[in-house]
Amino acid sequence: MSLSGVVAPEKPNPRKMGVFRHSRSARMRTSPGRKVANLLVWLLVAFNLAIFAWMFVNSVRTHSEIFANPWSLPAALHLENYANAWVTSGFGNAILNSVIVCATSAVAIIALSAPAAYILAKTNTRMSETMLLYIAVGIGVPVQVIVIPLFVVVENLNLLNSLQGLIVVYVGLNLPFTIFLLAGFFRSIPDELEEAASLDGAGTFAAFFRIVLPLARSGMVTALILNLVWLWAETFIALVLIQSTDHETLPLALLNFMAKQQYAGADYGQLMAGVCIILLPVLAAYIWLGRRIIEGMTVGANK
Amino acid sequence: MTRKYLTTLVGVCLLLTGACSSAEGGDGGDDTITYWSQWEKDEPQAAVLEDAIESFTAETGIEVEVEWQGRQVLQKVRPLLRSGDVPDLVDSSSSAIRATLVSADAARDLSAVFEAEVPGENATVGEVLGDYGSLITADSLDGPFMLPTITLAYSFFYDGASHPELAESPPQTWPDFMAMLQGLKVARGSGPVAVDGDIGAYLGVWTSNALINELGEGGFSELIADETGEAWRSPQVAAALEQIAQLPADDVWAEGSFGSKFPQIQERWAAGESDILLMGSWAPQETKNSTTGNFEYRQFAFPEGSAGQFTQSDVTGFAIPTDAEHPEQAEQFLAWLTRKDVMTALTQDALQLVTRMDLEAPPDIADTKRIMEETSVVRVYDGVDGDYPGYVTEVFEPINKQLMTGEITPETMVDQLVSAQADYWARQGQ
Amino acid sequence: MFWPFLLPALVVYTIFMIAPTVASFWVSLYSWDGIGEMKWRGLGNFELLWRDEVFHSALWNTFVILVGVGLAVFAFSFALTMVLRDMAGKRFARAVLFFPSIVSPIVLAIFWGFLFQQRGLLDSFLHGVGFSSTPNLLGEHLWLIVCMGMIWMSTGLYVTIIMAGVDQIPPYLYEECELAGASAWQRFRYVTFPLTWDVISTAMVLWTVSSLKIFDFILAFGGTTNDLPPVGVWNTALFVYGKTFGGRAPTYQLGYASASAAVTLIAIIVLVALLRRLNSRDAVQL
Repeated sequence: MSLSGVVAPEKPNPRKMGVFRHSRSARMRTSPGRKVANLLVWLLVAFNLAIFAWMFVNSVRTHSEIFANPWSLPAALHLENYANAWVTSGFGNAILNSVIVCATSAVAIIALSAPAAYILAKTNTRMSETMLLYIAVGIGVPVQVIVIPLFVVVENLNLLNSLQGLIVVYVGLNLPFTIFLLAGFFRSIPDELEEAASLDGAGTFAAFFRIVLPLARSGMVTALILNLVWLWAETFIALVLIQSTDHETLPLALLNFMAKQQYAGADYGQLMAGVCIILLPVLAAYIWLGRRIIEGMTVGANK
Repeated sequence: MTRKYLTTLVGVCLLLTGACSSAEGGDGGDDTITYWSQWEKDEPQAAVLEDAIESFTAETGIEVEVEWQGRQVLQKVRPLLRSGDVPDLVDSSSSAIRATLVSADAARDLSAVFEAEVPGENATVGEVLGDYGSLITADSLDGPFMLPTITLAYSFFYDGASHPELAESPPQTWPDFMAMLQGLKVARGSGPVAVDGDIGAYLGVWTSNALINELGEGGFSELIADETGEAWRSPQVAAALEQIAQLPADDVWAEGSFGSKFPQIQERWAAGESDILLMGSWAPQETKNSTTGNFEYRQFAFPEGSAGQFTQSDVTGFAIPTDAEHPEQAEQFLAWLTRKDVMTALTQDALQLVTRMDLEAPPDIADTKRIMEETSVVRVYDGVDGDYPGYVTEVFEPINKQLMTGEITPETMVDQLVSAQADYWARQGQ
Repeated sequence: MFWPFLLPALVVYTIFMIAPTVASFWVSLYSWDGIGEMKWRGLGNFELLWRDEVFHSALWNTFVILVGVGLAVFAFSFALTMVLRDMAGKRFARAVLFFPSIVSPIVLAIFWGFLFQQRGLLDSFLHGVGFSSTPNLLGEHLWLIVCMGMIWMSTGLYVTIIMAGVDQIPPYLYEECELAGASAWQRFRYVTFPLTWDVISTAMVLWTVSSLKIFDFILAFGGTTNDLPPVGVWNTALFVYGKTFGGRAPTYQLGYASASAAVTLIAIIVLVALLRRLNSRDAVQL
């Protein structure tokens, strides 16, 4: 991952964009091709909206209604789908597990990454460069390469089938990316601030906690959100490390829920209700934090 | 400063490891057995078991903690075998228990259960159950490795109300069968045979039955035992595969059979959109909600071949991992499950064929019971899936699917099987 | 302060990331079911992989996702970026397009299956508008459907990344261009392209890394959730899972699966090295 374009995650400057717009729009506005292109984009947007609308609509229809005609509107509101889905899916327990796992892992990831990222960003020695490279290697290693040894390690630590085992592995897996992301933020903090601090007699440690961390808060929140988004949906590792339904995280509960729908007589209404139970909190978080998530994920790539 | 930092660090580590060491929980006390079930919580089998657990606990004071894991239960138990942190009781089909627990030497010898008395009855468990000999025993163990509770058998299901003619004269030979399909297809105007083509096993049992019909019991299994794979090149195999190849050639599949997700096609069959379904005896339980009008579940046997007429059958039931913490209590519970009232509930509420000989089959699968008496009963896949873990999913089912959709000819299938099987054996390598 | 700051992260990272990677190569030389003894196989596992058609197809599929799906994602993203930039309501449109990136791929897969299955949304729509026979999409073109799904769910993220890159170009560069009387093409050639190339190349690395990890979206296309999807749509992640922990009666071929993982990793290293060579000319490094 090349460390290019390190710029603080600034908000787009309207003036800047205004200039940009002038340079092109005059030419593009008028062309009919442009209109077609706009139309296509809006169609795609409509498609995305329709998908989620469809799921919500069908979550209050019965199985036979959906199969008879997937396109029609509900004849009556079958809200019991939601109650049934909630009971059969065990989402309550799974959400609790997911919250525990995601929150603990994300916080631990930041706690471990921030000092490492800071020191790597501010030290310019051969060793720090080697270390940075060593950590960069981990970003490119896909899960399937390490899942088997990870399973054995976790088994030997006696942490198989426990949330703790999952947390420890999640922390290890997300460190490299997070360190890189945070290093970018720390680099954007001017050295002068810390130099001033050290003139005041504060050590690196104090400078880090009193000056750098508060300044890099937005970067760390971004890193936190990114980790949460990733951890919330993680399936592969959870599938391998968690066996008991008591300890399953949300993606596992969702997979099991699909299986239940198939064996206990298919009920697509209930399945859609279950899907919506999963979607609603994500949607709420997105509406609330949407810009932050988008910026975070984008800045992550721009580091 | 450094020291303060280090203390924080050590604190964090302690927090992590402290949390870790308190990890294991929920195993309960001495009088709680943990049971991981192959059923889903809202299946009728689960309801029957919950009632049985309630009466068992009332009688003995032993609690049973259930996790409704679903059919993938052994996939979840398998990784725990080495650490020994396993449930006290699991249930699955005999071939799955054989492939996972028995093959890893992790199944307890259940002789004691068979010798125990059925609670409240004057007979031992072994006496009230039928004889399932080779289905539940293995060379590596002296006694049975599982307690079978439900018998499964594959046969052709149809609606007796709309096809009384099939009840009167079911097809006896393969040509009869194909002629019958042709008739049904003409009458309906579309494919009469329902199959959820995304489930490899529902396709595999067709070919497997045809092969056993030509090769006899153990013949299919012998093909797999050949590490070169060359055993597939035989005239009997060719004859069996030719039969199967006629199915796509005559275009007998119901619309959507290979383009939908399970259980759509079997539900549409139950709703009257196709005529016959080769399925295990659990079909009525799974499809009952989709039937309309006076649907009447009837079955006929897979037609005979040159080696005889065979019906593929398996049992499902309970096994105790060797590392179980409460094996005696689990055995007590197993004896409880063989009581007449529990088994009757499995028959009547869950519509299953049970392993107790003194109980009637539920009317919906009475035909299956008769078929099992009239034809030779063999293990599903001739036991291949239990004896050769991974073979059917890695080698047989993917290639077989291509035959059944008409993508490849029997000759190509044999060529592919020979080389895939040789590689399968190389992978098992010593 | 160098080591105290770095060491905790370094230790955890080494134990859970680097050590397993190295171990993976080591296990790949053995035959092991995770319970019994490990038996030395030497390069035997690799020889078998060489002949294993399922692995070939899994590796090929991984490659198709990386290059084919990747090209489509970038082409769409670029096109969308160009249109979106000057469009009214671009923030809303971008937010909607981005949303699938944060939804569980399993949820998306459930919908995607229902969209394309027979009697599903598309099928009944086509019947409704008068087509008598409709293609069997899930049965005969499952891989294509899965790829389309991956394009759809990934594009939003890359649109956003590329847009952010375009937005970061300092406006004074364009002002200078105009002063110098540069043509539109020259502006693109000498300003837009070199300056976004940086972001694009990072996005390419991001895609390389994340495309290899795609797992749950494909997994959810199994017949049932206990059964794996047909081997024709496996990528190497599913291959590893299928040969070890997955399926109704999992087979735990840990050695063999590790060998496939090792081959995957080597293939990635080669690809990333090629990508970096391709990208080396930018290096607008700060």
